[in-house]
Amino acid sequence: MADLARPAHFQSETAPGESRATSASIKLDIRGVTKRYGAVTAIDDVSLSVGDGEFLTLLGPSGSGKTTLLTAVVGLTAPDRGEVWIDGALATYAPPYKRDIGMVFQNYALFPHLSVFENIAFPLRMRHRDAATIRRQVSRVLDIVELGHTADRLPRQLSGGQQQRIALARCMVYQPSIIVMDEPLGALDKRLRDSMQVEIKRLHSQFGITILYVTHDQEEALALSDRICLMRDGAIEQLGTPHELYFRPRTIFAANFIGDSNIFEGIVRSSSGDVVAIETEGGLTLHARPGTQRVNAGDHIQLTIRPEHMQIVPAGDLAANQISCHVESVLFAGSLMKVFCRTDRGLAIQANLIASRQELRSGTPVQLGWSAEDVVLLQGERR
Amino acid sequence: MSFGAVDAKADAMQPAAAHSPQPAPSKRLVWAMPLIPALLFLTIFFIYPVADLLLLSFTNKSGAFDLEQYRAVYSSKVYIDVLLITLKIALMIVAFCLILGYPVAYLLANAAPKTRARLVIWVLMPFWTSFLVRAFAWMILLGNNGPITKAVNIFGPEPPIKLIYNLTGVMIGTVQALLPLAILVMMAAMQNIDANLTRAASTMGARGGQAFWRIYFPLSFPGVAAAGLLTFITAMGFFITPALLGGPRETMIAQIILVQVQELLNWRFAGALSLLLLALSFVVFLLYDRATGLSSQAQSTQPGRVQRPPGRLAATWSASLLAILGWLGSASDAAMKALEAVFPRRNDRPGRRGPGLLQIAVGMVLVFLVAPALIVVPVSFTSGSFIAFPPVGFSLRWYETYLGSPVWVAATLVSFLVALVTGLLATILGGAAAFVFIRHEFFGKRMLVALFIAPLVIPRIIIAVAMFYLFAKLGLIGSLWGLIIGHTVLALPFVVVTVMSVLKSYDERYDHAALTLGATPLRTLRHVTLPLIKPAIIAAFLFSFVTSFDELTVALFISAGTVTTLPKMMWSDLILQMNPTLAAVSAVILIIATVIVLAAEAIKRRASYE
Repeated sequence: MADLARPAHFQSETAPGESRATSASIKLDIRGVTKRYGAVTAIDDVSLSVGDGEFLTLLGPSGSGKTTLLTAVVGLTAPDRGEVWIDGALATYAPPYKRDIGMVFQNYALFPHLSVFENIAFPLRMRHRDAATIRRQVSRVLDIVELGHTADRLPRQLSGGQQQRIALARCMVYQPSIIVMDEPLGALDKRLRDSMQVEIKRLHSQFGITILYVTHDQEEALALSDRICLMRDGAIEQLGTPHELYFRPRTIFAANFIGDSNIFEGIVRSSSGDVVAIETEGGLTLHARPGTQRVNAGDHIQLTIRPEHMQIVPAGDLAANQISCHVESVLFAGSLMKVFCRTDRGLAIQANLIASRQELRSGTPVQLGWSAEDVVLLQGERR
Repeated sequence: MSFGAVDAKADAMQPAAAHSPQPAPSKRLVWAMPLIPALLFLTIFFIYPVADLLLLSFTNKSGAFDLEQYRAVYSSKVYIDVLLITLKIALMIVAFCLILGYPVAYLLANAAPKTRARLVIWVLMPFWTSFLVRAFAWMILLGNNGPITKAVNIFGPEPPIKLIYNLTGVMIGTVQALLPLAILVMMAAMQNIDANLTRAASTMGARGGQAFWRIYFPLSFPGVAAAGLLTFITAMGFFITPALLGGPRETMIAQIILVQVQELLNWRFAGALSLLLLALSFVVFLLYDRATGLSSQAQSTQPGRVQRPPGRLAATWSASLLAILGWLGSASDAAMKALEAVFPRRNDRPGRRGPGLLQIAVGMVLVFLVAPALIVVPVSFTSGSFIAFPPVGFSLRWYETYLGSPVWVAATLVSFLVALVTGLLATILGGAAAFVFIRHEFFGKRMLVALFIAPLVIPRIIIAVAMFYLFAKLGLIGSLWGLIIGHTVLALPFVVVTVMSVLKSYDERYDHAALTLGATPLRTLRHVTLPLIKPAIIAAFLFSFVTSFDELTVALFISAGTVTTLPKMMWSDLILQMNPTLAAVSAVILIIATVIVLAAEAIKRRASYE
């Protein structure tokens, strides 16, 4: 396949979000991979598959095992147990140069002594393409990232964002089965990071590239991914679409890692129809709709409410959940205000409100309300 | 928050700004004071004598300008030949050092930090142990009855292969002597190569050979060039090893200079030869610099120093060079593939782990570096009357001879005393200078730093002859102070480089914190800065101590009568006859140097782990 065009690939049949890939279109399959460094288990029996054209993000704090998992996929570390399948071929112990994988490194790893052209030509030269093909394909990907005029420059003569795009082009030029990116935007400043996110997203959807992405930045993960694999202590904490992870976190860890959360513990008092009443520490009674989750009266339970689901409601409002408290402090963040409140019995609550011209002073008594749908019941701590 | 609060805060900032540690305009040059003593010291005892000696070569007996010395060099074929031989031997040494040193530097640079720390000791040890002791060890091993010579001649070839007093002996001895320098310089450069680059190459389909030749090798080239340059300049001025292991046909220019001064007192001619040696080194340096643009890197000989990213040369790898590199890569990969055909790799099973060819080769080089010197220890315990390896019996008789001889004991005490004072003096002078270099930017700083490093780069024989000339006029020959001053000049580069490298990574905010907390600059220095960099200061002292303790070249000229150092005594004995007392002395020098270097390294390392 000398030509870059891959029509079947360009139109990803599976819409993002529902990409539970069928076995035919699985590009990467990780089966029960474990890796230990001495006494430390970096990843523990992790299984994960990435579908054709999917954008899957490994998200987690440092030390959660996401980089180890990534290096096992690329072949830079050999797992102790488990298997790695790439494009239907077993590759667990194959050397990196025999895997059909592209990697964008955190610092881009552009070869400093080679021109932009030679950098991008490198993987093609390794594949013994002829000079004409190399010229054609390199200039094609250079056009895709809109940097055709930089072909003769050295990497250090480019800006950070340009280097990033060249690193991407260098991976795209040989059409690997999957492109792996290790915190590729970590070195860029906020504004550039935002515009590069748009760029990566564009290349992904336009060319149907399969991407395994690593980051510790939850906003980046939410913005880019089809699915997010949240990792913690070497294991998968929760795997799902950004929407699922944000609105239906399953654990305290997931709720805390992505977005702000109010977390309460309590005991289920009664369930009437599809609404349950929960009495929390600090003497609140909250109402929730557990949906498919089974809860019984007397269960000890943890729950979370996103601060942005809370509103200031007038006295006598009909919202399912209401508490009165007073404002302790206000963090003004431009488009919204983070209001930190406390109930009379000392329970702390955060509400993120759309910024309004009216100022909230500390000490002001407020009534906060939210609907039963916004209460998410969590599973107990994983052991 | 009201505006009033903001104003109050702004008011509170005002007095703090007025107290900030800006030097008052009236004493603007106070910051340069710590540099002055060291600068004066180097001007009087290094720049002036060297310049004086070189200028002397342009005069005749009456002091008028005259080129007669250079006419003498030019008219005699002998000296031109010696220059050519020197050049040839130096280039051969460079080639061997780079080829043998590259794999070692590569392995060390790419090892895990802990492994590297453990292995680098095996390079640092020979780097710091004296040329003299090592040459002595080679004389035992390569001598006509030495074990290596016997082993080589086991099948009795005719005529028997000789390994000493010829080019072979000089090569073995000098390459072993200069290899550590080459390794340390290359390693420092290689440590700066981003490990992700070869990884990136391999994810893009490059096998080991292509990744090495197309990516790693070009990036390591500036380090190789710097190592080659330093090795070359040192080799050009070498005389200890060639004098002891070479024959008349391997006479190098430094040996001629030695003879001119020591035996003929022909200062003008020695000056002329020194200038030629310097000029030749300088020309080579310029050629290198033109080709590689690495003048900034050549200054750094300290292991572990951070160096700049690859220079001009790395930017100009042309298409044809790239093609050659690609061809080398394919050739290496073809060889590896052939090997893989015999031992196939499988994707469902981890590859075998074990020492590869590289590890074995590096192990052999390290043994070559370290092992020969160690044989002086067993030899020194012989009970026989002659030097023999393996030694005969076991006795302490040669240590008794050593310690029972007032001359040897006096020399030992002189060496200790000189090393101690040199260590203190060099640490104080160089440490203060390093502070100024790191803390202040000023015009001509680079040149001044280069001046402090220069005693390391200029052939030592030239410095020694120049000092001899000056000290003879000052009456310092045969005095402790003469030796101390001479050794301090040589030790200063090590102090400046060691302290500078630590200060560079020192977070000045500690000082700022102390100053804002009310400490005066002097008390900040005493209670905050100095305690924090104490390990570097101690290491600098110990390196100076070792530099002086087994220094020979300067001691050769400035020692006299009862004020004679241990290496000078050894040298005098060694060129007359070998005897087991020398082995005992060597063992003592070796052990003292080893203990001190290990201590210095341990202190330095502990500091950097904080």
